[in-house]
Amino acid sequence: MPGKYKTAEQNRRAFEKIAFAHMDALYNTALRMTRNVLDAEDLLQDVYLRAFRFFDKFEEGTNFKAWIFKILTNTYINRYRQKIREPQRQDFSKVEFSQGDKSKSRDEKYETHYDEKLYRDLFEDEIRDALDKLSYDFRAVVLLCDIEGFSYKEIADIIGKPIGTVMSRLARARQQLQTHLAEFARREGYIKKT
Amino acid sequence: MKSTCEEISDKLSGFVDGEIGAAALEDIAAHLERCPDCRDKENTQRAVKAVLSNPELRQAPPHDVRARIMRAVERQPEGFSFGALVQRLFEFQPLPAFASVVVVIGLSAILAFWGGKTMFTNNTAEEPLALLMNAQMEGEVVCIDCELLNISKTPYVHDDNHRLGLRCKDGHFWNILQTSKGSELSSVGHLMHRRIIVKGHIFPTQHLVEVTEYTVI
Repeated sequence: MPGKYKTAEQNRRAFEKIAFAHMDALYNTALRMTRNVLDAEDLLQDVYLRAFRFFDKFEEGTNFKAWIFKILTNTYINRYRQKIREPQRQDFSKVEFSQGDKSKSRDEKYETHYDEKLYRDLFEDEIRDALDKLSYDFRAVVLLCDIEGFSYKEIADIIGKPIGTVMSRLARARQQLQTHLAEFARREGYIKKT
Repeated sequence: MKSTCEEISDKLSGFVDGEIGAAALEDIAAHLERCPDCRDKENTQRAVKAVLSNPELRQAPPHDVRARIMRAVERQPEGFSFGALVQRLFEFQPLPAFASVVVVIGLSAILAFWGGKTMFTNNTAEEPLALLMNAQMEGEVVCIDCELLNISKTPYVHDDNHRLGLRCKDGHFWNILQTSKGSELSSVGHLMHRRIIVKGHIFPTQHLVEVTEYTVI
């Protein structure tokens, strides 16, 4: 309904109050989706602009967080459609950087790859690598459930799939993550090869 | 009922998260009791969940990002909303506004009635106005900009600023009004080139449809 708030200023203030309560969660998810600080900020701004544009369509009293996360996933899919459709490709420059650069100190690495700095701080390297190996569909449910704490019903709503699909994707995603993490641990000698 | 390991393994997430019903819960618990392989998988589910939910992995957004976003929000033009537009017209110029609304509705209704008869089916009433308000049409989701550029034989690349719309059987393109439903429809990339049935309100003179409901066929 137009005119829920009397003036544009009131409308903006109401939006600011309710929407920025979720900025931290949105930013962290955006970061893990785009894997890059600059893209994450761009995505975040897009999400807020869209949410603001459709703010009058949001029904007060319903779940704002789920609503704005739905905008986040839709915006992401829209922008990175190409990337999602392509099969996961190994980024060779990154692989070399993360494995062949052990002699350099962390700070030196940060200087040469500034974009990745904050993102690297976010995760222990191995968790980040493991998440990167998941397909978008699997990564999305893990991010929403295990990191942002949404219920299955909310996730189903956000990604537009039935709860059963959320459940099986989640089960498989965690299983895959475990495989990747175990592989890493083996490589580093934490666990012995069986 | 005894479930197989395969059936169980897709539900272990729900089991661990407390997201399944009592019957399935008992079924799985009984299976786990006798199946060490699935117990391993259950532990995996718990372990990975625990690793990921570590709050230390979170990152604070850059301190100035909120201010930057709000500046962008303030620069936004007021969103296009047919209702708001009409309302604003009425506030300033009630009489001419009323007259023009009558004329616009009348004209569009006539156009829809004469020009759009083949395109729309209507299931509620026979009045021309009802055709506008509860139209239903079938078409393919396409990128309007790419299609138009294609027609004019201009070299083009699809980009994210392009608008998705609908191409009906008769070859007409329809823009989708950016309401929450419309934005959902036009922002979901995987609907591209799918045939859908759209229900909603139409603005024939603008070739615009306000989607209230859509189904993929």
